[in-house]
Amino acid sequence: MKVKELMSVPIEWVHPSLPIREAARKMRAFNVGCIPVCEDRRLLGILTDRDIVCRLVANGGNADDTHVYDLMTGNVVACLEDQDARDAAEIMRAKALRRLPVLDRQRWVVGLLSVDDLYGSIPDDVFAATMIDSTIVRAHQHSAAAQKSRQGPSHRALAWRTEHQDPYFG
Amino acid sequence: MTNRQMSEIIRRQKPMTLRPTATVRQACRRMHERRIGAVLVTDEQDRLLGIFTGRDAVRVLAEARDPVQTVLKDVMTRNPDTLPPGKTAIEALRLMQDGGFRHVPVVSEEGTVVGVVSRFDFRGLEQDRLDEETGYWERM
Repeated sequence: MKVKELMSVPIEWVHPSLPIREAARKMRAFNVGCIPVCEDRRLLGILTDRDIVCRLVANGGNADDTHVYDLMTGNVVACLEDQDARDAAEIMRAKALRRLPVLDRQRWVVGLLSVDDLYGSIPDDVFAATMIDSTIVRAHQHSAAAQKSRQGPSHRALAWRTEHQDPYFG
Repeated sequence: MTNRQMSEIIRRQKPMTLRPTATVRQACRRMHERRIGAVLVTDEQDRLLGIFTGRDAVRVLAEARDPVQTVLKDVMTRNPDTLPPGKTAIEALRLMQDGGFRHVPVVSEEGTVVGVVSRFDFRGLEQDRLDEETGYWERM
């Protein structure tokens, strides 16, 4: 089965310069926990409710002065709409991700694929391995990340401009 | 595996609980520090009042409330679906699948919170069994 048949089509995306307050309104209105960050439909990153919890609210940041590019995860890994679902599962497993933006051959953002979308559409053993590996590797990454101190928002704001040179297959 | 009980899955857990008067900012800080996706809101007797997740935090910002002033009582999801410790993993997975959520509090017969299970506490076999039950594999 192709990624195209399983992905959810994002009806919304946000611009990196949008204040978090507005981004939160969009996520709330469309009832999503994850929204692609785009400029002219080119993918720059991903913003999740977890980013907002950990990088803004937990630190007492201001939702009107903080912008999407301060909190988003740049340099994202993506998959292609005409790829096989099993390949997408392999990317998720290897890169420890639970969601992948989906691009067409022109590299426009056309959808979002979550590990849940794969459920039942790839062989059970592949799904189970994807689920477990992505969880275990993530746990390792988190503990490694905890050793380093987090970059401040201003650093991130500068970073996304350089990071997003080729965010598609990072 | 499929018959594993909730009590076994949550054995080593100390669930993150907060009082309804705790603020949204405090809850988010705990979620960040403990790397968890939800906090349980309980009263003095450890009885479950509600659950607070990242979705709820985004809603707080969207509604222009101040996370430092807003208390969980006002923004938590009240009376979430729960499971007793004797239920099996497959029953928990089915509840999550049907309800479309990722966290289910485990509540004892006396009504006190003893843990919380999330989607990622489960292992392959239980997922397989759910596939068989729902007949999804036929789509292959």
